[in-house]
Amino acid sequence: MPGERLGLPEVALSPDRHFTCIGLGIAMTERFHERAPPSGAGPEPWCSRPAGSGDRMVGLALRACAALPVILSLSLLGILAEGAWDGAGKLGIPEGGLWPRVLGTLLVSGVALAVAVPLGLLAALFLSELARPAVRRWLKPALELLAGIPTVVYALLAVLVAGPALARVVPGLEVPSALVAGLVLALMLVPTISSLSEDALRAVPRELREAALALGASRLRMLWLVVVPAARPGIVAAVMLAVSRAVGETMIMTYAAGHVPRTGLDPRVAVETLTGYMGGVALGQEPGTSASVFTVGAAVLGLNVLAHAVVLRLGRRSGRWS
Amino acid sequence: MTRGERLRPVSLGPPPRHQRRGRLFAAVCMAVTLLPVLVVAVLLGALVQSGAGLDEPTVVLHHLAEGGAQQLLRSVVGSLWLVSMCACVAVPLGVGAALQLEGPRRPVRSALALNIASLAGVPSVLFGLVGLELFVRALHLGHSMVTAALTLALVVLPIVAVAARSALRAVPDELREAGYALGATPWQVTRQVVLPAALPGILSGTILAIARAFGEAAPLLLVAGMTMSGSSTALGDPRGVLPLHVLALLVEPRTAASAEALVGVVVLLGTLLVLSGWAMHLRHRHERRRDGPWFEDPR
Repeated sequence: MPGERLGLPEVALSPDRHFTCIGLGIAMTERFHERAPPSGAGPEPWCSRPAGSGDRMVGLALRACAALPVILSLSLLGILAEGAWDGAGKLGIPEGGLWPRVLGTLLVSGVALAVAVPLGLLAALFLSELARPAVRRWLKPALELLAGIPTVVYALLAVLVAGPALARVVPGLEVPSALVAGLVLALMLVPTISSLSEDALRAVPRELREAALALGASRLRMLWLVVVPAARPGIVAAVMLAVSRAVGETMIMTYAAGHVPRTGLDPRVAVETLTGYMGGVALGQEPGTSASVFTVGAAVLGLNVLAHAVVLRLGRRSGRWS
Repeated sequence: MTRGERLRPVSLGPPPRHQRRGRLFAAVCMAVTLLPVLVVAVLLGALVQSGAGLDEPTVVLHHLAEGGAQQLLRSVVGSLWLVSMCACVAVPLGVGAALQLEGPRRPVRSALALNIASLAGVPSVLFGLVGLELFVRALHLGHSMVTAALTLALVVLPIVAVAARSALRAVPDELREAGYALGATPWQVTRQVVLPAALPGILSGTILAIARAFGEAAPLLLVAGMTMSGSSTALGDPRGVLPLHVLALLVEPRTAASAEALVGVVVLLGTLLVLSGWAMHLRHRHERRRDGPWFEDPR
């Protein structure tokens, strides 16, 4: 129903489901608390004062706060799992199927990561190891600023400026297309990767570097054979974050990747991604039911988890310093 | 490595081949680091030049005078209102969760902390779906500003919690122990010792999270029930907030109305610049203070 607001209930979840989520969340959080080391009279072994009523109130409030994220993730899973079924008890598959959209997501985020990961890692190496302090002092904030630019603005840049400019260079490029979306997405991901990887590189102990240099390694070899492998877990975490941002990015995908569900691997034409579908339905540009949007949402989450597993696996292999 | 100090091989005589190669590599790396910054700067410049219709500024001025400026102002106010509501909900809860994770009587941290960290990595659109189900359907709040604010709070909460937690972790345990040794209760230690010491870190993380909420559009798109035809800039309607208002540029590019959206882009980026600059300044000052004599590790 184009033009109509999304969210008119087809099947509203019964309220007791939400209460179940809340109860389960609190119970799970409290379970973790019970497993905390046994305390003596006070809340801390070395705290001599007995807890007053104010302390108890605050403690209760803080425990409620700690339970909140658990409740939230349970609700997220529950809502996605249950919203995906329509009134007739069928899984809400969007028109054109789920598979082309999954492929579209993989294609766009593949393009983005293929550009952003090498650039981000080189940038991290430069900022943490090679740059003079004066250069670093202004280049690092400038790069970090890119990560904070709203994605709406990136979408505007992709459609209005970057797309037409690229179309002049690349033959046969459509303007909403996987390539345009991927390249603009890469601009957003580079600072994400570089700032986390840089922290990991800077945390590598000085002794390791000294040992490598003392053994006669050049600076390049020291970086490549000692510092980068030692920082591998942090780098993997950075790439993981970038993957989940790429898969879940909505505004760029909605406007710059197009709305043509397609299974080809040609990045020059318009495709449709999972998040692009959600955005399209929300904007009323595409037919869709609430069940199909929730199904696609569940697919986004599933893809996210899968991508994390793959990145973790790739990162673990041939770990030199583990 | 300590700040401002670099390790380099001792050089005797003219640079050998491997050093020249190292220099080449450094130059390549610098170019790569500069590339995204320059590209975005050029693209933004081109956007401003093409969209604003700088060749005919009278049209833009006319449109703004006709009421475009008022609409823009309304969307900025709407955004500020939305973000402040969101912050009022998300910041206390996020900091509270972090305090519980890092406070006295710590729960088994790994599971809860892992949960929060993975929530922070969940795409924000999905929180839009949660907001749709929880606030629009279950709580019957409608497509209102409150729904939008609460949904944004869901997005921001894990980010604030992660930032606050790492700030709290950086407070040395000796400070806490000194507090207990003086006979303070856990809450007194938290309020008078731990929170002040961690405040700059918490604050800078919070500011960055709020900056993100200010520009976030995807979950609002789902929750606000946005349709392009029915885009409204009425106060109190989440469809009128700045990030969604800016999308008008995509619908009717290069008209007078798009100039207004373009000014919106500039406002959005300006706000972001101010907020991030503030956060970076706080973090920088905090790092310097932590490295100074006050927080020196006694060992």
